[in-house]
Amino acid sequence: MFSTIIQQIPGEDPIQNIVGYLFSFLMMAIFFLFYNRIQMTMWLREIEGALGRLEIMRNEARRVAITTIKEAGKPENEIDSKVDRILDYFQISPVNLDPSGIVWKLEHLIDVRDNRWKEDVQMMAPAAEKAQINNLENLLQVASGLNLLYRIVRHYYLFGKKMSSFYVIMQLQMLLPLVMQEADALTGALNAFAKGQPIGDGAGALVAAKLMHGKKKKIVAKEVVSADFKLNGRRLLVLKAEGPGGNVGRPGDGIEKLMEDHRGKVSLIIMVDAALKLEGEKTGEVAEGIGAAIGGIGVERYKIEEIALKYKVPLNAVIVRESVQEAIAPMKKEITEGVDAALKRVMQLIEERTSDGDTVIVAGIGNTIGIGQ
Amino acid sequence: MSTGKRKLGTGLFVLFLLAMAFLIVISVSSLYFGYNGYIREEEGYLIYLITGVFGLMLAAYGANQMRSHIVVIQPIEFNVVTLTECEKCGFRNIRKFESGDYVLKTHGDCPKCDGQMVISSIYHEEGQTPGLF
Repeated sequence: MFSTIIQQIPGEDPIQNIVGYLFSFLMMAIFFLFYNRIQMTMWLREIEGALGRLEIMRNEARRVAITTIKEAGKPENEIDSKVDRILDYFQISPVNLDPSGIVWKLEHLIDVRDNRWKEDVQMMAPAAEKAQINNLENLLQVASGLNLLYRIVRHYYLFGKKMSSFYVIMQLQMLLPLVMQEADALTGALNAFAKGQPIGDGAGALVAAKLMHGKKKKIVAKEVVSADFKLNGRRLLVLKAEGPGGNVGRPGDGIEKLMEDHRGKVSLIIMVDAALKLEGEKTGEVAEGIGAAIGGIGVERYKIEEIALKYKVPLNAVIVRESVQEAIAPMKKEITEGVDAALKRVMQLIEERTSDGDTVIVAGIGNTIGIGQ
Repeated sequence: MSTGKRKLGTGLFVLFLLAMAFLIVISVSSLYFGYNGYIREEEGYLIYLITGVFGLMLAAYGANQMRSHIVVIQPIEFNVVTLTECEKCGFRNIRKFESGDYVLKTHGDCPKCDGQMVISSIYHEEGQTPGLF
């Protein structure tokens, strides 16, 4: 019976052919039945690799933060556990079921958070100066960001693995390039914040700093410095965050104060900021537009838009293009060239859009680390 | 910043190397038999050649996968420079960034005239990308 079946199989060596057919069927069965599992295993391996890198970055950020605080602040006690506690800080967003008034709630929360960070840094680094405290606060924020990224990726990795969820793993694997880009950017910023070097985001602040250099300055809002002077027949009110410590200040409050002080008699507001470039665009390119050029969660932009609307003052924006990595890494030469070009563009705007005797507000937005005034 | 490698189980690594070596030996042998079969015009040489090529491709893929799991930290130190400029005569000087430098900081007297040197910019040159790796 068996030999009769064997004889029906074509070819010179039927046994070899049977093995071949069985092998092919087996492979097909494996791929049909276990394709998802094989694919998931490959993705999990890829995520494991990324998670390992994130862990190293997080540990490195923690180490740099602790070393810098010890060098700059001369702490009396051990600070490792305090740093760990700060790295785990979280912030609960205000309820948005009734959005009315949410901006002020957000502002209050940001105030509380900023004060808390500053106080903790001051306690850890009693010998640090004001600018150094701002830099250390920024450094801890970078380390905290890396810590959060690591914990989120680890959560979804372990969750997907535990549930054997193809879709959780797939989404995480697809988002990995963006997550790693963010992590790379934060890691690149570590040294800049530790050493107090200007970063790409400071392009706007640098434009304002160059404009107000050598002029008399005063504080107009929390950590915002302003200069009032005449140039080409116009009255310029230039403001930026107070440097050279890492600080973005409250430009919204600063502009509001200047506008109220001048009873809204301002012909033009020009905001200069670094902005994210699209792929293919050159770093340091300058562009011009309309609106409030300022990032963040929107509290400062809200205030600026409100006050501009109240007095019907046109809002103009000048931006210096850069990538997300360049924004928090030490400032590139192309960006410093972009700053000079942006300064020329601001002067051109003032020349074209205002007349002799007009008052113009120029706000340099961004982190002013490593930039004085 | 320190240089190091992400820990990888030694046993697993040795097993992987052995498997790779075995696969490469089998693939190269298969290619050899396939080539001999082709020269002697024997039947079935093509299956040996295909097996050999696929075996080598699989070994290359495996090695590449393993490479991505070995993380070597290469710390990138940005070459940040400080450009100082005399406000009076425009004399310029570029040097390495030093702790305490910031843009618009006055930085001593000009060596050419009696003007003040001011840090006009601090930047890093192209050629380095942000990140540890």
